[in-house]
Amino acid sequence: METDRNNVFIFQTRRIGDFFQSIPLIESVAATKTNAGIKHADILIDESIYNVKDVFNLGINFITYKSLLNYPDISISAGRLNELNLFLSDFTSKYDLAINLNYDFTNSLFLSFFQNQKKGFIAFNKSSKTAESISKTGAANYLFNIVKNRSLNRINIVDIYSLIGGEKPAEIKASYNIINLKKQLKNKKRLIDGEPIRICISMGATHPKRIWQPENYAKLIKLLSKNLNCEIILVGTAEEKPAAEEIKKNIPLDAGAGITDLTGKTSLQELIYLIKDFDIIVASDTGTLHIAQIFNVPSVSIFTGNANFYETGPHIENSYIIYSKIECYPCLQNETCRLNFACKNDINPEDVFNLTLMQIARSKLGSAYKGGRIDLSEIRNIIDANAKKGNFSVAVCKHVDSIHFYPMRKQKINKTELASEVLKFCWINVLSNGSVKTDKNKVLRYTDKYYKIDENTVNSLIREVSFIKTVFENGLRSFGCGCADVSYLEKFKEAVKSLGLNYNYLKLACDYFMDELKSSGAPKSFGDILLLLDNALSILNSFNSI
Amino acid sequence: MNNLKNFEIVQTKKNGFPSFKINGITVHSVYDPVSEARKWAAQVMDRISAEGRPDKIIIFGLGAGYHAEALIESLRGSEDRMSKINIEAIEPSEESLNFIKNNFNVVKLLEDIKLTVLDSDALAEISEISAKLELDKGNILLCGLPSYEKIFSDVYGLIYKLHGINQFFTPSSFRILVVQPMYGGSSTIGNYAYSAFLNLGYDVKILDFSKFYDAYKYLGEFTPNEDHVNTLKQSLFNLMSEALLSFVFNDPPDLVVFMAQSPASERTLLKLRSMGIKTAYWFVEDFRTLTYWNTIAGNVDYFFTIQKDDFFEELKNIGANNYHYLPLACLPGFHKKITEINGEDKIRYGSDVSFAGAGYYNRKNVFAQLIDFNFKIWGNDWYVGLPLSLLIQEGGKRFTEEEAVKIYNYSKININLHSSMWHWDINPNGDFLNPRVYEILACGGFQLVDRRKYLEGVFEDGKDLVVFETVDDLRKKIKYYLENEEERQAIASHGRKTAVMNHTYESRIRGMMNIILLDSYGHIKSKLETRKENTAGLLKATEGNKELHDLIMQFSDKKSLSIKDMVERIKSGKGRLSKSEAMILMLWAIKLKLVKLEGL
Repeated sequence: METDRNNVFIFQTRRIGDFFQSIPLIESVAATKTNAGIKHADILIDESIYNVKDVFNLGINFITYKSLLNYPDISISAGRLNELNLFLSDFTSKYDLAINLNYDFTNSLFLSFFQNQKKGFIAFNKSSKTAESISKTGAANYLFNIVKNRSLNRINIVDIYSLIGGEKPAEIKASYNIINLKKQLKNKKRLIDGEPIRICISMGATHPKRIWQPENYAKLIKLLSKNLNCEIILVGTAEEKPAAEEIKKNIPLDAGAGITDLTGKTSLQELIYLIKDFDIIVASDTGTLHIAQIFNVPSVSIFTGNANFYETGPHIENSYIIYSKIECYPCLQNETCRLNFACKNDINPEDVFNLTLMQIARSKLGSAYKGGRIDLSEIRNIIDANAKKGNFSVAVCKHVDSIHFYPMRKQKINKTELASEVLKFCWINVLSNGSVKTDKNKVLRYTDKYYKIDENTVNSLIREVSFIKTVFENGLRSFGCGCADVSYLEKFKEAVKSLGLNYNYLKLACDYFMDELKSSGAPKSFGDILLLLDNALSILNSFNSI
Repeated sequence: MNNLKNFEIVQTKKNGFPSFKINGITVHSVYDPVSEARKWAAQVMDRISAEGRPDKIIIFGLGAGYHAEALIESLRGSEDRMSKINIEAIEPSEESLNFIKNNFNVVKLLEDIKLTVLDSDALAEISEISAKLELDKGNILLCGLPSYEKIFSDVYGLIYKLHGINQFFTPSSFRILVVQPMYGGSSTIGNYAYSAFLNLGYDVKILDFSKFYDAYKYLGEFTPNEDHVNTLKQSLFNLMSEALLSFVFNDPPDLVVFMAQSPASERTLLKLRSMGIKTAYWFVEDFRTLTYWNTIAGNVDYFFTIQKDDFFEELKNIGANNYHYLPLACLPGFHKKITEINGEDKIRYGSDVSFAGAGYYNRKNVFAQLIDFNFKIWGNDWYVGLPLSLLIQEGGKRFTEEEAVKIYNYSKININLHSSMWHWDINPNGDFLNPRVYEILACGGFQLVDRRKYLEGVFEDGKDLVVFETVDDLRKKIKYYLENEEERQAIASHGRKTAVMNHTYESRIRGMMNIILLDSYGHIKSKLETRKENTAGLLKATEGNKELHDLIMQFSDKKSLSIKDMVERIKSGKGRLSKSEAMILMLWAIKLKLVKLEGL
C-alpha cells in the first residue's frame, strides 16, 4: 500500500508568473484527501510575492528564506552552525515529499537536507561552478536543457512543473480548491446587459525583448475603444508606469475615455481580485497573463524575443498567441538582438485587435461589438491574409492530455518542426516514467489536422531517427553494464555530442542524455533515449500508413 | 549633558549608613544600603564567574561607596588572583563628587580604588574618554550603579557604548569600502583616507573609478550639444553607480565611505541602506560653489563636511540631522620632511616662493603682482599671458602628489591662496582650510596663507604659519621671511609639529569612526559579534556533531573563523558534499540571496 503523503514541501522561488504556473501541481499534491487526512503543503516562495499567501486556503503555508531562518540581519555565522544543523534536521524530517522546481543553488542545497522523498533540482557536489553542483534528472533535467535548446521544446512549463513534482502532465481545472478568495468577492463579477466588457492590457514583462511597443498598444486600444463597448484597464508594476503614460499620450482624449490606468497602483492581492473579473486579457508573457490563466480569463497574447509560447504560453484551451515568424524567434535570453527587435515589428495592432474580436466572440461577449455580429470566419480570413502578407503567425492552445499549441490555420511543417511535434508526446511518456502512454491515434489526428505533412519529410526523419537509435542501442550494449573502459565511454559521449549537432532536432535529447548519464547512470539514460526514439519511430511509421 | 542637580541626604533604617538623593532619585536603598550593596556585589561576582576574570572592573557611580566596598570584600574573600583585580570608579560630575566627599567618608575606599571624574568638558572629546579610562586595554567589566545609570543616563549610555566598542570591536573585522570619484582633488583625499583606514587596521577596500575618466572626456566628442553631453554624462554616472552596486553585492562591506563627486546616486544610496550597509559621505567641497550636496545629505547615514556654521544651517533647512564637521588633514607617512637633499630635485622644484595648485581667477590676479620674486607656479589651468606665463612650470602640467611634497620641501616660502571664482584677489569671508594648509606644514614647509575663519584655534599665526590679509601684506611678508631664515624655519618646524600631532587623516578617520560607531552601536555590534568566531570555541561547541567538528578541525591552525572562510574551502574541494558542507554552502547562499533581495 502506498504511504500517504501528508506533508509536502515545494520550492518555487521564481517570479509570480512561475508561481501561478505551478498552481496545478500544488493543487495535485496538496489539495487531495488521503486516509491520514488532508495533505498539507509548505511552499517556499520569493519574498517579493509573499503577499500571495492571502488568496490561498489554510492548508497551504507560505515560507520565505527570511522567515524560515527568522534572521533579522545578515547574522548567519559559524557560531550558529550547530544550532542551525539541529534546526534543519528537525525541520526537514517532517516532510514526506520535497519538490524543488527551480534551477537554483540555494534551493538545491536545501533540498538535499530533506530526509524523505525528494524531486527536482538537488545539489550533490562540491564546486564553485553551480552547474556542476546541481544534479537534475527526468523532468528537471529536461527543464534545465530547454533553456539552451529553446526552439526545440514544445512542452508547456505548467506541464513540466507537474512532471517534475507529480510525474504527469498538469490537470487543468476551471477552478482550484487551494485558492480561497474572500467570500463576497469569490465569484466572477457578472456583466449586466449593456455594461462595457472589461479588457485588461498588461504590457510589462521581465525582459525588454518581450515587451511590445507602447505605440502599438496605443493603436490597439484605439481600435478596441472605437469598435467595442469596453472598458480598458492597464495593469502592471510601478516600473511599467512610464509605458502606460506613453500609451495614454498616444491616445486622443475622446478615444481614451474608457481607460483606467492601474499600473503601480495595485498590491499583488488587489491585482489578483481584479484579474479574476476581467473578461479578456491582452498581454505579453507577463505574470498577469499567468495569473489570468488560473482564473480562466480568455486571452490574446503577444510573444516576442525570448518568450517561447510553447514553453510559457497561456494554458487555457483556445488561448490565442500571436508571434513573429522571423527565423531567430524564439531567441535566447542573453543573446544580443542584431535585428533591432524585428520580431516586435512583425506584429501589428490590427491583427491583435482581430484576434481579440475572435476571442470575444468565442467567449460569448459578441454583443459588445459595435459593428453588429462578429463574423468569425471573415475575421479569420483577414488574419490569414495578413499573415501571408506579413511575417507573423497565430497559435491556439489545445489540450491533448497535455498542453499543446497548434497553428490557427493548417500549415506546412518542416523536418525539425515535425520532429519536435512528434517528440513532445514521446517526451511526456519518458518524463512521466511511462505512466502517461502515448496515444498514437490522438497524435496522428491532431498533427494531421493542423499540419500539411509531406511524405518525404516523414521518410527522411524515419531513416535518420532509425540510424540514431542504432547508435544508442550499440551504446547500451557496450556501456549499459557499466563495465566498459572509461576512455571508450568518453569517445561515445563525444559521438553523442556530434549527433546533437548534426541532427539539430535531436540536440535537446542528446543534451538530456548526457546529463542523465552523469546523474542517473547508464541504465536510465539509455532507457530514456531509446524509449523516446522508439516511440517517435512508431508515430512516424504510422504517418506513412495513413 | 548633565542638568544638575539637587542633592539631599536620606537617613536609612540602618543606623550610620545614610543614603542620598540626586534630583529626587535615591542612590542607595533607604532601608538597608549595605545589604543592597552586598547583593549587587554578588551579582558582579556571578558575572565574573560566567564571563571570566577581568583585568579591571569599572564601577559607574561612586555613590556613598557601599557597593564598591562590598565588591572589594567579595573579591578578597574569593581566590587570591581575584583580589588583585583593579577597580576604577567613575563619578560623572565634580558637583556630585564634592557632595559625596563632604557627606560620606570615602577616603579609605579611594585608597583601594582609582577614581575618575568625567565632567561635561571631558565628554566633548570622545576619544579622550576612551584613553582616560583605558577602555582598549585588556578585559574590562563595566558595572553600573542602577541609580546612577538612571540619573546620569547620557553619560552612562556613552560609557556603555565606548566600553562595548572597545571590547567587541576590532577594526580588522570591520569592512569598509572607500568610493572614489573619477578625478579631482577629492580622489587624492580619498586615497589618503584609504591609507588612514589601512593604518588604523580596518579591512578596507577602495573602488577606483579613474578608468572611466577617459570615457567621460570622450563623451564630449560625440556632439557639441551640451544637453546631449550632459545626458551622456549622467548615463555614465548611473553606470558607475550600478558597477558600485555589483561590487557591493559580491562583497558587502559594513560601511561605504563616498568621497565628494563619487557615483552616489539616490538609488544606490537607498539600496545600500536597505541592505543594512551604513553610508558616509565626505563632502570635501565648498558648499557654496558645488551645491549637489542637497541631493546627497538626506540619503546617507553620515554626512561629513569641511564647513560648518552657514552650511549646517542650510543642512538643517533641508531636514538633515546627520552632519558632522570633519576638516581635512595631512598624511604624515607621505607628507614628510625631506632630510636627504637631492641636488637635482632642489634645482627643479626649489625657489624662493612657490605656489602649487590650479589657476583660479583670484590666484591669477594676485600672482600677477608677484612676478618680481623668484616665484614658481605649479599646476594646470594657468591660461595666462606674459609676464605671469613665464612663472608657470613645466608647461602647466598637473603635478603629482609626490612632486607636491618636493615643492613644499624645496621652496623657501609656500604661498597658499584659497581659490575663489568670485573675488578679485582674497576672499575676505573664506572659512574652510584646503588640504594644502595641512600638507605644506606636515612637509616642514613655511606657509603664507590667506586669512581663513577656521584657522582660529587650529593654527597660530606667526607660530605655525603666517597669515596675510592683502596683496601688499603678502609682498611685505614674502620679503621679510626671505630675509629672516631662522624665524622662517622656526615657524615651519612648529607648524609641522602641530599638524602632525593634531591634524592627521588617521585622527580624522578615528573621529569619523567614533561618530559612526557610537551612533550605530547596536547595528554594528550585532553584525560584528557574529562574524569571526573563535575556532577553539567552535570546536568545543560542535563536539557532539562529528562531521561538523571535523570540518572545523581543518581550520584549527586559524585563531578565528568565518562562514565565508569555510565556504571558500568547500568550493575549492572535489567530490560529494557532506551534510555539513551542504548546510554551510546553503547558509551562505541564503545570505547572498537576502543581501541581493534587500538591495533590489
